[in-house]
Amino acid sequence: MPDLSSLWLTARLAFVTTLVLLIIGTPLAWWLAQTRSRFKPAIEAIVALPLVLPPTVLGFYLLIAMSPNSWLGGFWMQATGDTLSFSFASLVIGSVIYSFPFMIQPLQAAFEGPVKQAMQTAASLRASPVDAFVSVAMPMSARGFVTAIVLSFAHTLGEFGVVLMVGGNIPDRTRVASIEIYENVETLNYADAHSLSLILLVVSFLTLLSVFAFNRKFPAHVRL
Amino acid sequence: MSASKLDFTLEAKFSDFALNAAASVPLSGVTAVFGPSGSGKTSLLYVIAGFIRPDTGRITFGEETWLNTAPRAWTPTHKRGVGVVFQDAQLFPHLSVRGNLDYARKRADQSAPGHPEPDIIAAMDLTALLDRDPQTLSGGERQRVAIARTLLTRPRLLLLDEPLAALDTARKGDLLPFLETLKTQFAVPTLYVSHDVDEVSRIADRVLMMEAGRIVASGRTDEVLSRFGLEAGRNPYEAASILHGEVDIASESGLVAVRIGDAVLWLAADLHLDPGTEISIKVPARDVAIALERPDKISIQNMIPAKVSALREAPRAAFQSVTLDVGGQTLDSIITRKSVQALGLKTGCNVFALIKSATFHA
Repeated sequence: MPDLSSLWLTARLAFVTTLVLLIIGTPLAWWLAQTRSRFKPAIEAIVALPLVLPPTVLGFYLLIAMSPNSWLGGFWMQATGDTLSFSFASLVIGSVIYSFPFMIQPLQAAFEGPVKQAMQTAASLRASPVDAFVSVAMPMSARGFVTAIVLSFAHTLGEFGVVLMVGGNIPDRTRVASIEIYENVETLNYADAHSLSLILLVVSFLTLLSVFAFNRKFPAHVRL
Repeated sequence: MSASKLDFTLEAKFSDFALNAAASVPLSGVTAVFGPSGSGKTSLLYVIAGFIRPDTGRITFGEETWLNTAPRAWTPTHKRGVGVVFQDAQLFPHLSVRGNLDYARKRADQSAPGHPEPDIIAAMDLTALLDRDPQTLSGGERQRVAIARTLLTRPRLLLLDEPLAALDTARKGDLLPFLETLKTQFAVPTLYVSHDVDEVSRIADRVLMMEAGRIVASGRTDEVLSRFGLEAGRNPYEAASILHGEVDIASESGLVAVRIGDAVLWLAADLHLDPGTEISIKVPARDVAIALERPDKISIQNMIPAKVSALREAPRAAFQSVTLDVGGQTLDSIITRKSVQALGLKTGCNVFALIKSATFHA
């Protein structure tokens, strides 16, 4: 029987990462959808970078940024008394950056198009910008939110390179399921590698199935 | 105290044209913003609604300043108390008809004068539609919901952006009475954007006439329309050109040859004219067809080589007005937009003007 603590850690990591991405990704995606700034293409390219960069490159830079000698690592050390690298927090930072495009791109696509004009309409019905965002833009973009949340969650479940670089392989602390599978294979423990792999495969499939089923059943927006 | 006037002076540059408009509009009745497509009517409306912030300018609504460049002032749309009805209704797809109406009612300015919801629903005949999904409504029904929704916010100024434009002719006829109800029963000061003479003459008390981003005329509807030869009940395509020429050959078999520059036109004439007599002829714009090459085997005998000097929108969307240069004189033609596209007409094209009828002009 494999050690299930790595699965629990993976689930926590995916949940926290998705929540953080939702909080910082929503305003950024909104800004990207609305702005006419000349910096927009550059920001979009940066957001998409994790799609093409080898995770080891991202992991390497993050490792340097999180070392106690850097300003980020040093600041963390002062604030918490612990090193940032090889901690759960470092996994969250790495995962947030690695899954960034999976949150931003579906949201940005949802915020472009009809939502823009609907915001003007809402303003003409005396809705303040925040009111209009919550009462019009969000329900009209429900499909975008579901897609973004599920893809970010699923993508974090499957992460390997970045977490290995920044988190290492500390049991209960940074050893997520994908790393444990790698470890099991290295030590020729194929039975545990099999069970963990199967669990990840089924969970990932069910997660993605839920998005496609939702998108099929519901229109782009939710009916309130 | 209700505001008395909407005043604006605006300058705004867009990618393809510039808005440079100033007017003072009494806040009562319906004021049409009238002009060809692309003249900036909708942009002007969007600036007044607060959707577009122009480079420089000033908008005052009674005592309130909505926009000013110096000292800087800006009132966002949701604080202006304007109600906007868009060409395509813009109902919220995630709400039912009732949900759309509730959305507006909940956000209404309770201190502003308004009408009870049942009156508005009855006036727009929406009772049977309340539980429907907006996507299942016809174009005309959607516009009625949009108008009711706007009224429920208790607007101080209504901005209607071609509310009939997306409808076919029959549906237009169905919706027009509702727009008249809007005017008579609810009496909210209204700016009504349109490029249709019939609509404007039926609904508007006064007209701001726009062309190329400027307001070129304003005043009472009948005055402005007649100044441009666009009176109500009269076909706007009665527009005609006057050409000057001289009699070339005296009449034979009831026809007279008139020389216009290098070309000769044959006109039916009941009177005797001596060669060399200077005369004017009148050519209705709708009786001028355009060909890229000189056609033969055609009943029309009067053809003049011409050059396209301008293409303009006609008051009705299906048509375009083509201004031709014939030996330094101007000849107007009104043909369908489809024909303009089929022939690929552009300014500077060399064409033949086929003149179906022309009369002597005193």
